[in-house]
Amino acid sequence: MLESSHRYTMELYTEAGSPLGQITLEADFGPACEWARLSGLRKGELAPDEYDRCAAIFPLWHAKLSEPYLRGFRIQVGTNGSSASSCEFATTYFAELATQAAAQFVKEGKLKSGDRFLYLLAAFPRQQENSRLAGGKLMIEDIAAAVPVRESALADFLRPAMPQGEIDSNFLPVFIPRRILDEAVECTRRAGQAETGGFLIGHVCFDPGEPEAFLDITAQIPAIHTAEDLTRLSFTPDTWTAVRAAIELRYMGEMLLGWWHSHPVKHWKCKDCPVEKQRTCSLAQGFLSEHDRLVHQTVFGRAWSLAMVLSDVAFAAPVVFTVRLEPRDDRATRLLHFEFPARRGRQPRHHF
Amino acid sequence: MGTTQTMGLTLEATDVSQQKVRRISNIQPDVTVQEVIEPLLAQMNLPQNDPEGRPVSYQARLEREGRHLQSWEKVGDALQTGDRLVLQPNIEAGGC
Repeated sequence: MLESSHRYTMELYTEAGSPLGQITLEADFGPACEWARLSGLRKGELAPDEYDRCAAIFPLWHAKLSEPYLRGFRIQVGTNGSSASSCEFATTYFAELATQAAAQFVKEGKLKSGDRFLYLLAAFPRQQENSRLAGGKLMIEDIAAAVPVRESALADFLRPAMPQGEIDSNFLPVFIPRRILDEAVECTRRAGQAETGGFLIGHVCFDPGEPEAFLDITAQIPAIHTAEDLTRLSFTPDTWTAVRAAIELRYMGEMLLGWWHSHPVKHWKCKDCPVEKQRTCSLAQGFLSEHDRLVHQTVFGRAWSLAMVLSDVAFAAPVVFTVRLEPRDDRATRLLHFEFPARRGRQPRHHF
Repeated sequence: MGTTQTMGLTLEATDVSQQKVRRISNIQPDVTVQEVIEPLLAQMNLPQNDPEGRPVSYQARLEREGRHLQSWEKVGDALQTGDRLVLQPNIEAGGC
């Protein structure tokens, strides 16, 4: 549950400082709240059984302009001061919304496409609102979901693991057995000219001694009941029913931790380019399209959620990229890129 | 003392990840499934349009019966208090 004692507005200005207009901000603070929860768990400020405690948003007033203008906002998880965890966010969190608002001013002719603009956030105390939805009698209340976090020793996972890609202490550690990546690569090869995908399941773990949280990916479940073609992979309601059934059948306390899908790059328009040019093409580097980001944000809303993209390129074996969407940098993506040459024998976990 | 007719049904709804859970109460029996889902999607911050502005459709799966509900079904006919629904999207990845 997320409490807010304020309502938020956005004021837009031309680069010269002329006011363009104001909008009421219908911002989704969910990703920021999720990030604050995960940060709290990783820092040891939130115990695993406190993960879904009530959270609240507090405005942070602008140093020069003062209230009601903001320099950012703070999410505090847990209302008990002795066991609360908090995280601060800058106003860049709303950059995407500001761009959408500016697009409206372009339509109205107040801005030209490509013009730079400025925006300010403001917060005003919210008046007491009826908890009923306007226009209806339905009452909807937030219920804390059980988050099964396993207590595990990080060192036990690090010892046999092979680090891959950029290892940054800011990143949540993720451990994936090599066989899972091989399965995804094989699915990608078999799919040929069509996109394909699957789901990553496992456990969220926490080592209180560090303290640190990390992901233990235990399996990938190929997505079924999908529609695929060269540039699209559609998930249907039956896809979600099937993966849920698979998780329950395994009966190992696993949960949905992320997903992977392939980009058959060598069959895209890249196939007409020289191989040397393909090596440096942005399409081969791994990316999440707007549609990919929508899937990730719709289905995988937890801050620990992982997306993998397998780029099936002409010049190498399929290249695996991992992506984690972070709300701090205006939902920027972080790409960890590594290649998997075919190997036999010892099958370690990969750590990234 | 109120009757079910006036007190309404109480259901639980979750998204596919089962990490967003909501309790919906005071649902009148003559309301359709669609009329329950629409405000839920907004309250759960589930996207209702794709990047091209096309609607993202959701189906409600009734866990008790293991079936997808039809949007036109009346709550009073199809559901009972305590039922749990999973909101499952038709959604696509891809594009380059």
